[in-house]
Amino acid sequence: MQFDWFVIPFVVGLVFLIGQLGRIYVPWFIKLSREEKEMIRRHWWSRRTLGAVKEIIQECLLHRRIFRINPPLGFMHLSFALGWFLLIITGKLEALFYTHDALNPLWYPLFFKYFEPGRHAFFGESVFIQLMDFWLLVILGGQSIAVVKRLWPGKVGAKKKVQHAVYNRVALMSLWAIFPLRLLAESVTVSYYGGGGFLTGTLGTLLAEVPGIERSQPVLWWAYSIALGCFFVAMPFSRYMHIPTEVLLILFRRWGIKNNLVAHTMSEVELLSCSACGMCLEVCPLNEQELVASQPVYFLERLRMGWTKPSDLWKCLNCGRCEAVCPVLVKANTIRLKEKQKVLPAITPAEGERVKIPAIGQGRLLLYSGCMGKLVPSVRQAMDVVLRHAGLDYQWLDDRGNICCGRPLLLSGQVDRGMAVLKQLENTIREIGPDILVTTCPICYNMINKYAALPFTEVLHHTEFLAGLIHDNRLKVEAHKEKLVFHDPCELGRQSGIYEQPREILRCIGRLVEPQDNKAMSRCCGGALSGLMVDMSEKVALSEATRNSLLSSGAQKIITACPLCRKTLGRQANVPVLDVAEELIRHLSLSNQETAKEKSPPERAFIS
Amino acid sequence: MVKFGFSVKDNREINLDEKEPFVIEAGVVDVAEVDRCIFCGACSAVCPQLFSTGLSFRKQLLSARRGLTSELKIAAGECLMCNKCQLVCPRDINIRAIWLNLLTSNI
Amino acid sequence: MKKHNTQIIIIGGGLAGLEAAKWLVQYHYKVVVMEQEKIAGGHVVNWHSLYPGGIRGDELINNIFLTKDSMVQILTNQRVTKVEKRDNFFWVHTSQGERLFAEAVLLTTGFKLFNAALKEELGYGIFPNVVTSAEVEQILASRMKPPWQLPPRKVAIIHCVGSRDMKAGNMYCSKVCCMAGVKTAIHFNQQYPMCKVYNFYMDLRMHGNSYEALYLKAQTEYGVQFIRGRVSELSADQYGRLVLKSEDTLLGKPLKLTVDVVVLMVGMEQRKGLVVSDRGKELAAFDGQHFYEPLNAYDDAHKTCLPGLFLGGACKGPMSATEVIVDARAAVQVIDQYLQNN
Ligand code: SF4
Ligand code: SF4
Ligand code: SF4
Ligand code: SF4
Ligand code: SF4
Repeated sequence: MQFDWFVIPFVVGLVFLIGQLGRIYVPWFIKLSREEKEMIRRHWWSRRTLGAVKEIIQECLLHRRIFRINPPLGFMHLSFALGWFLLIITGKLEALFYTHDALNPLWYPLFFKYFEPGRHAFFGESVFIQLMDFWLLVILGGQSIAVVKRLWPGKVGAKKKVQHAVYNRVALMSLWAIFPLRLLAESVTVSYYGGGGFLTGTLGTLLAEVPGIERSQPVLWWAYSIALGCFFVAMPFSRYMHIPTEVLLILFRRWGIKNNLVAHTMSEVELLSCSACGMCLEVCPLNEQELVASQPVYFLERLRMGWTKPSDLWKCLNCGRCEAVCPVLVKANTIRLKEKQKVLPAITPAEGERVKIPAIGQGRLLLYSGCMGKLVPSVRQAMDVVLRHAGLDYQWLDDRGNICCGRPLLLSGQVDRGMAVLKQLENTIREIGPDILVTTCPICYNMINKYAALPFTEVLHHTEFLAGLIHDNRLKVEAHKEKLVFHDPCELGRQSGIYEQPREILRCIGRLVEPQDNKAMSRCCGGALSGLMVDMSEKVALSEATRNSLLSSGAQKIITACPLCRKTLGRQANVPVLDVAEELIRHLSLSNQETAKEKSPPERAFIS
Repeated sequence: MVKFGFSVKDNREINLDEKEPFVIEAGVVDVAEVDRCIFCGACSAVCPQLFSTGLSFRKQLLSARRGLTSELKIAAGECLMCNKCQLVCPRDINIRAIWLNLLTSNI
Repeated sequence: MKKHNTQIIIIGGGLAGLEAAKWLVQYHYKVVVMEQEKIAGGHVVNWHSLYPGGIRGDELINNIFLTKDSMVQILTNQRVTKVEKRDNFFWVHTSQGERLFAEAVLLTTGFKLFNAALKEELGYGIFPNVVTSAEVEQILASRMKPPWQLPPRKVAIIHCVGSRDMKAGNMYCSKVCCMAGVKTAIHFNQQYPMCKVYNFYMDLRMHGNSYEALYLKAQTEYGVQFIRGRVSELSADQYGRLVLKSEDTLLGKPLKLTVDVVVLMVGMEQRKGLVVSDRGKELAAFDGQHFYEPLNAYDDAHKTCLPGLFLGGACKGPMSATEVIVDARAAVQVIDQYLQNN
């Protein structure tokens, strides 16, 4: 006999789930762009897929990335995922070995103990019994960590508890009910018929003492099946969608599909792949200050529910710390930007949004300080000194009027207008036709580097350029003993990957010390352009915390490479906050000019 | 018709008896924040758009206070969201958020 | 009562401190003035001229000294770190580790000037021809070498630098700089007759007798241009001249102006670094974050929450020289009354 009425909830749930998965996944494939489809066609039968399988095992089952950041949490995820996976596989094999029939009903392996109670002599029976119990134990072990994490988040190294929405709680409750119910149901059956492993057997023996226990058997099996059914029904609406979606995500990523401003499918795949693990919550500077709840874990959850608020979109610094720790590598800020775009009305970029910029002579070296640079004239002044010292010929793009790079517009959600402004800038640069464009602002640098088409121009941030000059001996500097700490601007570090060049310069002119949070985990100054709805008091708190973190290194000066960081950190600081260029000019060696001329005549371009 | 040598225009006075002084909708931006403005013009002085499109938060806010709101929405669409204005505003008004609020609302 | 044995310590040898000392001595008290600089006289001694009449700062200080009594003891190079209240007397501690006895203490610590480099968009400390109002006074009084070689042809005077500014943390009007700005415009014209001066203001606060008249004089006799708008962006052109950007807020139009010299009318701020304690407990009211608050602004405008500790002059808030003199004299009256009753 391979049927009982209690399997119905499970079957209904499973069928519903499969239907929902189809409903969600099929449109994704349809919405893929032509290039993306082409990419899948090209790569699906290649070594990339093998790599994906490896990554799926590492991430979806073993949860390596979470493990690295937080071992108890990693173990929790591992025991749930791996335990359950192996429980299913072992159960299938057990049923297969018993019946020698691969086509047994779906529910048969699940409720095997009910359908085939007692002991049977088939090949490997005792091994299967013990193994099934072992996997169950692993899962229950993980579950106890999960319970501890819910009740006392501090105990497992999680600073904050994630507050989940209602669907998730239903799913969570049914998930938590599944395995204890299975244990109980199996144990009661075992207490009656015998044949349990080390876990169910022991519990069964104990339960056999309870009078009338056998009457609870159908109730428990029903409950087990209902818990499974409930979980499957709630799953498509809950964060547990990440279980199947993450597999798809890894495949897509390996096949070369990227999440960017134009991708349709990939944003949605990433959205559903977020497991709401809360790693991002821990590192978000806005959360440390107990200020707001716009971190990806909440933002994405609300987005899945369709409940996003303006503060979700604009109360974020776009600093990228959350993305840096995300074990699923969700590009939450790209998703956020696209949502902003959807909320804002479409404003067609006005023709002639900028003043017409008159053309003046050709320049091989063009400098650009950007809007923010105008509020910090000392940086431009410092660059003038450096370049005169190095004997270079240059001009400032900014002398042609108020030119913006468009990134602020883009970050606010007005992507099209931002791009139109950039186009104007790009045209102006092309008209001048420089070999090198040096920006003193990482925001402009990031924008131009990522989105402008300047095939004949090398775009450099001024730290790259200055490091290059020092390296080529075109700038001679003298070291001193002051301790300097470098504040990584978000747009330069995490978003453009420039960490070393500014540090190289600082090593040449002083003693570089590092704070606790540096490079990829550096903290935002608080003034980030994207934090459109971050209040002044919050910004002050953020920059205070960042400054303290930087000064914990024992530095006497804070050096940065972004006009906005410099301004934000500098207000109310009790140590000097300077740009790299400003600090550099204090340590130029006086004999520089002559040697520079000897070494390489100024006629030669810096990079050829 | 009598010729005066000049033409009479429409009544150009700001009639505060008729028009409710306009207040930017509450919700996203604290209305009280807008009330702090002293119309000093620092925001417009640094605005990269002042020189090209004539965008001036000071002017728009003052006009709105007097009930003249016709250009508000257009002005909101001219802002480049660069935040220079807030950085220099002596009363620390989050001007970008007000423009954004105007863009998304249906005033 | 033996007044000659009653010692009063005045902390701060500026205009207020000296004026109060002068009068307390007339009342036959023993007065010690503590001054942290090399010479007494405070900010005023460097000033080219004080409005409304145009008296030189050092002249005014000398006038006070001329009438000074031998009973006034002025200790210079003495920085007071702590004022400690005991039962009914005070210990005044100096940075040299000395401690002086006093039966009453008058704080006339005055103000410090806003550090204009904090408003970095105005280019102070970056462009040599951007100077503060205090430096201009010294330049005009020939106490300092001007940074410019040729006589300036165009000068911009920017009002309210570091005052009326939440960002600078100063939510008050410094009161004297509007008048000083007008006065400086006139002086520039007097010293450099070819010079054209532009004043950028938010509001012109011409309170008091004859101030409005000076404003009128600046307009009519010297052709000073008054532009309503706050300058927030400054850069240098290729000749080293300074380019200002502003909005003419009365016209609602962008405005660009190239000048040779920019004068920043810096505001006043409280000095930090003095601790006042009452039987071992430090008083938060004297943390130097804000101007000192007297008991009230009306009839107890010189008393503090500590009996025997009095306030005079600009440590209570921005004041002009004339107001400081009046305030210091009034403080003398209150101190005398206190000591008589004790
Ligand atoms: S975005 Fe990433 S880090 Fe944040 S909850 Fe989702 S999976 Fe975790
Ligand atoms: S980008 Fe920065 S501020 Fe925004 S959610 Fe991520 S960590 Fe928080
Ligand atoms: S800078 Fe601030 S206070 Fe001044 S006009 Fe603009 S918004 Fe108003
Ligand atoms: S944010 Fe908008 S209003 Fe403010 S300065 Fe930039 S462009 Fe002008
Ligand atoms: S006196 Fe005039 S210049 Fe000085 S802070 Fe007040 S308004 Fe500004």
